[in-house]
Amino acid sequence: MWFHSPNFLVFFVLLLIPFYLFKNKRIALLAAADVLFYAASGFGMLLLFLLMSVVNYAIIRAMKYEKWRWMFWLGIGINVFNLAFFKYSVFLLNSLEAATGFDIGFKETLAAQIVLPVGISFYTFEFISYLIDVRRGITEPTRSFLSYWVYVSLFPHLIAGPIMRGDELFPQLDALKDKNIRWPEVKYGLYIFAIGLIKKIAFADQLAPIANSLFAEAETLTPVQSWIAAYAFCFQIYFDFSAYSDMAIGLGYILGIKLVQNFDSPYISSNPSEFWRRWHITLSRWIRDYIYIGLGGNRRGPVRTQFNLLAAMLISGLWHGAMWTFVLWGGIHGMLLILHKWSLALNRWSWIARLRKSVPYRIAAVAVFFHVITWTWVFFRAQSLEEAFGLSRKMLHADWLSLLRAPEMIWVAALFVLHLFEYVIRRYEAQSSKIWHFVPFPVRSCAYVAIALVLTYLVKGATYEFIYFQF
Amino acid sequence: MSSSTSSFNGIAGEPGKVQTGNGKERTGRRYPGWGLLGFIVLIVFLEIAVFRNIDFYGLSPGFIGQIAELKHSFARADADQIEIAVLGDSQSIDALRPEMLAAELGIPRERIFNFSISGGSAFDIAKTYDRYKDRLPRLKKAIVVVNEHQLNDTLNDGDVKFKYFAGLRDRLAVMNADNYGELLLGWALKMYDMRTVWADMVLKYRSGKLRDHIPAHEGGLAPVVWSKPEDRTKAYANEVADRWFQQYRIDGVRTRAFDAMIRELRSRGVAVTILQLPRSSYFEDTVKEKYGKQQDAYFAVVRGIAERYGASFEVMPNDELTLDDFRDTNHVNPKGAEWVSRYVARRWLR
Repeated sequence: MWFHSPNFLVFFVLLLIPFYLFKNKRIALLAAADVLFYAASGFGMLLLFLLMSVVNYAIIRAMKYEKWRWMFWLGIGINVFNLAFFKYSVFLLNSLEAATGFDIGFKETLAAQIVLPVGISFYTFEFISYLIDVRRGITEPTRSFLSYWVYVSLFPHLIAGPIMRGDELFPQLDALKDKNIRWPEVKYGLYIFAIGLIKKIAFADQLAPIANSLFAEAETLTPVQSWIAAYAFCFQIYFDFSAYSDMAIGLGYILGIKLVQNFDSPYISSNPSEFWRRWHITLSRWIRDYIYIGLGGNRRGPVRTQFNLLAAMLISGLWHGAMWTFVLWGGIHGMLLILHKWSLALNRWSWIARLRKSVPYRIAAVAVFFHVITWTWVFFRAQSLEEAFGLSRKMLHADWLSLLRAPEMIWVAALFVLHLFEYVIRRYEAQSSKIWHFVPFPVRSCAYVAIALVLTYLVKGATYEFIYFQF
Repeated sequence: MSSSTSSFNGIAGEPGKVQTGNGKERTGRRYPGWGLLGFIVLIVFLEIAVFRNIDFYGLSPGFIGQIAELKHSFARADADQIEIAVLGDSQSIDALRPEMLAAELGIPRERIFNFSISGGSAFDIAKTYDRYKDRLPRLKKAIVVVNEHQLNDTLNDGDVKFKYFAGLRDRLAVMNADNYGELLLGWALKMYDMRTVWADMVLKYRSGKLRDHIPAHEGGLAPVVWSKPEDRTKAYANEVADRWFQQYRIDGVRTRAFDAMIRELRSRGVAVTILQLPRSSYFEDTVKEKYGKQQDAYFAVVRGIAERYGASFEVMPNDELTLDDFRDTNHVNPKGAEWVSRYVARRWLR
């Protein structure tokens, strides 16, 4: 059930009525709504999710007792196995076949049977993070299964995040029965939701056919077209995924729950480490807290630190999908982070440190790094490593003057300006809100109507799924 | 812990902590939301003045535009004179022409009005009749043209005419887990419901193809007189039959609407002939060959309704017609219309 579908809209409005009327029943209502929301994906998937929730809850309860603390490993094992079975078994067997040249003959049996449960990557992360947090003593194990179910399955963030942690969500769920959800919060939620809706319908879904058609002809693209394809996907994936997160956060506000920010204008980053502080923030936080630190972080010397960094990013790549293209995408980002870390050593020369803080350097770094990121998306979007390398080769040999003269560069530049505009609006939200309220209200109302009409006009045709739903 | 994270350089701040929303705790705003209120008022205004106004859609020809044309055509007619009504779809627009029927009967053409609409399902036909029934004080006879697709409920999904005519009860009757949002939101907001229609109008406006007035015709909508040559082939008959009979289901809202219309017509003393018009032999052969069982079920349902309310059900033969009488495999051309109109007038309207 997509957030921008009429089914969801009706579902949500029908939930809100009792949700606002019966404060004491909010958790129960959310639990039921989560079941219904997920059931729309398939009854079998719902059963699996419920079963996994019961098992994880039982393990968490058991871990309270010293003699049962080993069950933590059982919980990790079950979750990893569940994710690996549904997401990676075909990939592993395929790779095995390719490596050995031996035909196992699984394609007609196993591969045909396995359906990837919706949101499995995200809910598995929720399960694991809660197990680890309980073990680390960061959070107390909850007593209520209903609360636990709402924590893992809360529909705004269930399918594609933001990935929430127990200590962020449980206190909010506990307070929900006494919470007065005020009109400013609802209004702000509507505002954030509307931003997501605009990003999804007016931008991501309009860029999707462009990117799809270009990548479908990847082999025959010219170097300039290869860059255009990469730009199109670069903006499509940002608008698509951040739209989902915005809508999720907006819905959260309307329900009186604050979900964490997942994007912060990532394409204005000037280096890889800044990028990961701005892109899919909750995933990079998860990777850092549960994989990088789990592997030892920076406590075991510089070589091991870099190995840990690379391993964490490779796992992050693999998490996105069972394809070598994703693994390589993660690997490239790992290498970029390592290179950036090495480059920081240059700061020992004060003039370099000063240069790095200057505005011209920042502008140049953003421009260069944006193109590096655009290139990395080719690995994310390509259907095979050959395709990704082929496109990369062409991009490397592109004539920059021809690229700059390409008519498509106008919309590429316009989208980047829009990205900057979004940054300014979000960064200075209070001020922009005040300025907006200086506009006479009939003009504002007309602007809202115009937006509603344009969005309705644009949803007349095909709509594309959220890219991150496949993960 | 923080020392072990510093080399990751992925996220700022304390491990496990990120800022909420836009990074600030939001406090209540002082703005009362006049902009939002104005938005709601404007949307209500647009709903009434534009999106629920049939004359707006009439500026573009099409499934909904034709309803406005029919309205204007009816307004032009002298409703008090109408004694014979034809209710049906595009087949009866083409085949049962008021001027031809009137000429055969030797009566003024004002006494006959054809309410048929293109692509009309039994539901659309019944709803059209509902709109005009109270304005037909002298109605004596009705020819209700029926065919297999008109009763197939599976075809409701995505049918813009269904959306236009359907009230909440009709929508609830066809609602399922996949379409409930579309149907309920569409009921509340015609702007959303009719988006494909007005979006197409925007394109037509931009290419200068929108008409500046709604045409009105004498005696009902104007027939279509020409089709492509490929539309008179066995392949086309096959394609149309497949469309008509896809997942054939005749136990739903369309059949109920048809039943209710016949009941209402009979209860006010109108003589009703339920009529299946002739189609080309290509089409009849294809249907018998591929969908014989479904056609039998359809005959049984229509015959049952006719018997229940004292109407007659007639299937017109096509043996005196050749492919030269058709513009496509299931619509007659002007030559075929001449024959069909005379036949119908002689047999059921005298």
